[in-house]
Amino acid sequence: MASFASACATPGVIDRARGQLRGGDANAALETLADADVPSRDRLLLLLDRGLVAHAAGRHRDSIAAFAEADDLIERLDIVSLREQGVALVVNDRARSYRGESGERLWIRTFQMLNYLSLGEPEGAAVEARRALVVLDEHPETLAADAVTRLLVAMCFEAAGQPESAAVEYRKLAAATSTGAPPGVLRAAWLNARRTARPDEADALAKRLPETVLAEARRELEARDGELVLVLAAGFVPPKRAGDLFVSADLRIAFPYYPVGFDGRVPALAVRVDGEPRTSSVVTTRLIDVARAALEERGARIAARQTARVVAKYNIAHSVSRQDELAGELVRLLLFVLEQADTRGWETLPATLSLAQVPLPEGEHDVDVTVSTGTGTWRARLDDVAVRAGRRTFVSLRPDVAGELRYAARPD
Amino acid sequence: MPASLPVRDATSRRSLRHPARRPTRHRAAAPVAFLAAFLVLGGCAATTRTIDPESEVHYDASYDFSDKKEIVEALTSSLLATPRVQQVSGKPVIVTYGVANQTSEHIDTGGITDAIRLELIQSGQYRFLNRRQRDNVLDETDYQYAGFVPPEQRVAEGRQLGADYILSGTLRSIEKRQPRQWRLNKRKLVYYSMTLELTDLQTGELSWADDVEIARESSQPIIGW
Repeated sequence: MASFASACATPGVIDRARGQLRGGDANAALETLADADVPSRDRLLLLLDRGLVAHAAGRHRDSIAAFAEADDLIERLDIVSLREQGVALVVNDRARSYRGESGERLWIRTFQMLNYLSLGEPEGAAVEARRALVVLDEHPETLAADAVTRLLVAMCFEAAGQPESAAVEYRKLAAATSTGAPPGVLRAAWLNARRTARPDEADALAKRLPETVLAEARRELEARDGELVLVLAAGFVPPKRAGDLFVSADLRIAFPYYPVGFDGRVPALAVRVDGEPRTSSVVTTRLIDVARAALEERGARIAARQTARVVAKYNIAHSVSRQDELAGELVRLLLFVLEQADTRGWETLPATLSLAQVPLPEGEHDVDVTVSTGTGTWRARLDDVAVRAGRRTFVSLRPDVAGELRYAARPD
Repeated sequence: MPASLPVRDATSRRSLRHPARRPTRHRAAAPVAFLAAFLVLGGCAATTRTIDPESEVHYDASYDFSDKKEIVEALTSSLLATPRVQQVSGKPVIVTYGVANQTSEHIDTGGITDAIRLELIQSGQYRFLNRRQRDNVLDETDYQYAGFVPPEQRVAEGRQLGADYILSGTLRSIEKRQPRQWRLNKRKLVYYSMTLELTDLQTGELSWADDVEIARESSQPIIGW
């Protein structure tokens, strides 16, 4: 009974670490998660949080190790456990091991790419980019809204000296006509087309670019400038909530959903380089859009399992009632209470992920970043950011909900 | 409770009819239980054993030490059998520029180049520059000329070897997973291709190139306990 009851809650240690991160203390959160012991069914949540918190704290090797462990676990969890399925059939979905939504599996790759880029290891980042493509190919429609991750994939290929592979991804991004490819995407695609000597493609992209953005990209190409790429993870993705559907007065179906109304405000970014204001092309993904689509993608399977559980619970209660009516009522009550939606999720994820491209001449620069979100304004000073001609320097930032802009990473 | 009565009665009746069988069953049950416990505990026990590095062992479709060995053997024997590179007067001097990892796995390709270099050095047909130690060599030389080391013990400057060739390569992979559908096993197909090339520093010509291909399929059940 205690075991069943404990299946209905996220382990306290994970909640505590999440609170610490929201409070702006990534190091304390990491310490909390370091020695945490959680039930095996919640182990993936622990590893995902540990990986992301370590990334936010600028501890990229620790982050890589945690995410690699999460990968191994996901591989093992792809085997359907008959024991877990059996328990979940009479208790609830929280009795099963958490497997991660498709969006979450993609964002492991996103943060791994950032980890390797931050460590100045583009080859490792390109490995993660290839893995990201596997996830994107498995869930093409659900994950289509994550332009930032695919843009990062293309940039990883370029950083690893594989511009032709990058061109394929730029083409996919530029072809996303349903919402219209943002100028930041078209700009990067245009630069790639020019650098890989594909003039026709570059001309076609130029026609879709705003004049100011095109002029700036032309200047970058002609002056052989480099680029500062700021990757900004802002806010927190909202937790899933539990909904109830009553089949009868004593029989209900509990299901997870994301609340409507929270869309993750896109942060406004202002950049000053060596005291001068700089324009930047920003591309943003609202993670909640992708997370919601990923949950909906799984909706049919959740519904099928819930239906099977309702039937099983009804039959259990009914057969006990035939033996002993009072015992039957107690069983019915117990099964009613145990019916809980599986609202577990990777809650340290940001609400939005923005990628800003700032063209800069080769050399070292002092960069001031101001981020305005719905909850406040954060400022950070990045000293001596090294930029190389024709190359990108990646900086990963996470303004915490309360506290100063956390300077998460900077490559050599 | 009435439902259990007939069973209890039946058991007692059987015992009465065949009084000699009861102790026999007990005697047989003990070894069976012992054997079952032995098998269960033995199956769960942790074991460690030494594996012959020459043997080919694959746990899944991913790259492993057996693949590295196969790649190194195939490429070094190909290079050593190439007459054109051997015809250069004296032993050719090679500098390695590593193998680019273009797979979906975090593979330390430095291990491949190290093993190839070792095989070629041991063949006695090639000489190698230690590019990885270049900065350390410079530091050590600077130290010797900083006044701490007597002049007669200092290494002579300007005596380092110049490379004749650059050895470089690329490791690629193509991975295909079985599409999601009703199935009992999950299959994965992985194809690896390792290309190694020798570039003449004088002319920029590609003096030698070869590749090794490995394709493997793995299958694992998708239902377990």
